[in-house]
Amino acid sequence: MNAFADGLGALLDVSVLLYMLVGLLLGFLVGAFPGITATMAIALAAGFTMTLEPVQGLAVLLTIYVAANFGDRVPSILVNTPGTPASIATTLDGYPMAKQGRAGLALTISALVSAVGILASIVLFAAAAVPVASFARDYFKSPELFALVVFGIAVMIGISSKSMLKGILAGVIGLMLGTVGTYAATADQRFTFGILELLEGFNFIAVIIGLFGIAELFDQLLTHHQSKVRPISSLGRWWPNRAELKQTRRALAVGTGVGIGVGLIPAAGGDIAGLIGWERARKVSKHPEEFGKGSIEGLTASDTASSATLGGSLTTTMALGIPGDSVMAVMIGSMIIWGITPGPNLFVNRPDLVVSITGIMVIATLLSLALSLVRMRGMVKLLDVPQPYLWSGILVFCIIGTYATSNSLSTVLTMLVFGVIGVLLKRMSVPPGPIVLGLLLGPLAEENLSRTLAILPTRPFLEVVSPIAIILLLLAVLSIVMPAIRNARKPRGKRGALADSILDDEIAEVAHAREELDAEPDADPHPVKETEK
Amino acid sequence: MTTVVPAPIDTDAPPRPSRALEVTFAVIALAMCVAYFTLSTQIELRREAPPGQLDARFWPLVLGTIGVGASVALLVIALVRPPANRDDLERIQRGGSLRVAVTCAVTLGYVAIWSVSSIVALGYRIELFPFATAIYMFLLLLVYGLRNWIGLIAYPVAVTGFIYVLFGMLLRIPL
Repeated sequence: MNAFADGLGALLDVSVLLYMLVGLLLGFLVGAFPGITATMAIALAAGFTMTLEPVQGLAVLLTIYVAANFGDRVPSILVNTPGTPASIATTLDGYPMAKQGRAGLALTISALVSAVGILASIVLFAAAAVPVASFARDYFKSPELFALVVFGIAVMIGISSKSMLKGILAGVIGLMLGTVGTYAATADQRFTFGILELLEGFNFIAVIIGLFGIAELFDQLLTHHQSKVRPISSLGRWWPNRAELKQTRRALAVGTGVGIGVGLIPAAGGDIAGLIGWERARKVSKHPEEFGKGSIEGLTASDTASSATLGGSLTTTMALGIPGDSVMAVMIGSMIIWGITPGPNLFVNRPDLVVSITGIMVIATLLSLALSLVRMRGMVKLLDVPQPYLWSGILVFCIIGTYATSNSLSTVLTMLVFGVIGVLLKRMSVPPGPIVLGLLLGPLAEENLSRTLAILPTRPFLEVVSPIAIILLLLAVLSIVMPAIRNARKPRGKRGALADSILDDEIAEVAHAREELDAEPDADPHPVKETEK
Repeated sequence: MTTVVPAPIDTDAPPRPSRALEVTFAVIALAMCVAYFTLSTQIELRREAPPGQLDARFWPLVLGTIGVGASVALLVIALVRPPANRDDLERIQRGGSLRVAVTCAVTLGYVAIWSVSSIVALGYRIELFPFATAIYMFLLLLVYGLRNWIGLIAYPVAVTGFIYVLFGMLLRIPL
């Protein structure tokens, strides 16, 4: 009861609400601007929140996380461009609906079902976080913790990589970066080359802002070309009628189930959940032929599924210390700076945080929903903001945010160097996720492997290494081997990361539906058709 | 005399697969992993690891070995198999590399000026951060193609003011 009261009490501070409003605004903006991902925004905001109390900081970061999940649907529906990767599946039916003159309806339904998905997943977090953490605390010793880290990195590699070898290399690079600095057990210095700033290792925030923020920005600078794409401006009717709401039921249930399940898998995010949810809902729909042509069911399934990952992702992050997605990897870095280490002991030592986090997520969802239902018309204009303003603003805030973490300009240089490395790796299809995870979890893996190897000679193998550890290690191997086999079976031209291959069987039908749609007369006076090269 | 008209470049088409690029990447990765492995063997151990702990070289050597193995496999695949498609990437546009290079150069210049912190002129101590930031943003906007004079001046001034108030005055970060 005390934990409940303490957790709620922390939210009653008016400053928390103010920070949530800041997060709400930032989240919506980053969601609405294609190219700025929630990971980038959270990495950026990490610099701003360094000096805040943990609950205040969580209020900003979690609200950005939630609000970006609403804002990113706007460009998906109006411009056929996902605001963040989590809304990729929204384009499948959201954009066709907009082309049919039902953009307002698509935006409203998307906001409503996203809110339902997030709230359902928060129930899971509230109910499961403490039991999962308690289980992990009781049964996870050094071998299990090492296996868990290996499993987390392996899943990230399996999910995010087009080439497993490049993914493995990325994970190893991250682990290598994690060895820079002073070795805690013996105080020996490793790879510091006499540089004072490297004694404590690489500044995690500088690395993630470099890899996720600067690298993404540089990639946009490299590939940007003038475009005449205009958002669809004829929004039509806003509120769904009873029959339309009834259509969403089945897809809502499927999407929520898929989203919660995918969210619990470390490293799997909203992009994968959205695509799987859309594909599953299509399979059980009475009108599968309408999917990809502006189906309310399709839109509902994709948006509910991608939104419902938030709670699961939060659960694995906070209760096990293994990031549920790339956003959560960044969040862990910020929490460590505040003196909170996510993992099995977090909720046992601070059960009030479960209540605070649940409260923040619920309030953030309701605020985002409210803002979604009133701000749509204004958001359309935001899509016209010239890129130079965005790019220069992002860059300067990345620099200042990174500097604020250490008050040292060497950190800014670290960020810039990792930005350049990040864009080079991106151009080589090497995913940044495993690097960040390796850097973050490397010291934990080393410490627990070291303890395990020290105990092993003294006791029987199965007494030291439990079935949990063996299962986790087997799952880790499968996480890399299965996608590799799946890719190897495909023609070379069709190989890709997991998110790229979920709709392999449906992609031809969706493309055909799009062609049919393009052939029809437009309901919108400013359809998005041409792009000036 | 016939005029050869170059084929139009499709700026939306993904970059073409490139064996040279894949081989170069694999070679660089291999070189870095070998360097890491070599440096791992040279980590200076001040004392033996306490009971129940491994020494500082063990984990880096494990990682170096895995890294070298993965890089060699990558190099072999790059040499013997057709290069992978790059459909997930966008093509680099004309001027894109220059934009990135100039951005890096301007940013390094900005950091260098910022590191000076302040100067004394005419008996007054002048903080360089606000001026450096405003000029930095002006240059970035110019490089990125903005030619609207109001935007070129008003936006850097507004953003600099916001940063100065938020970080310098409210969060008390020594800018």
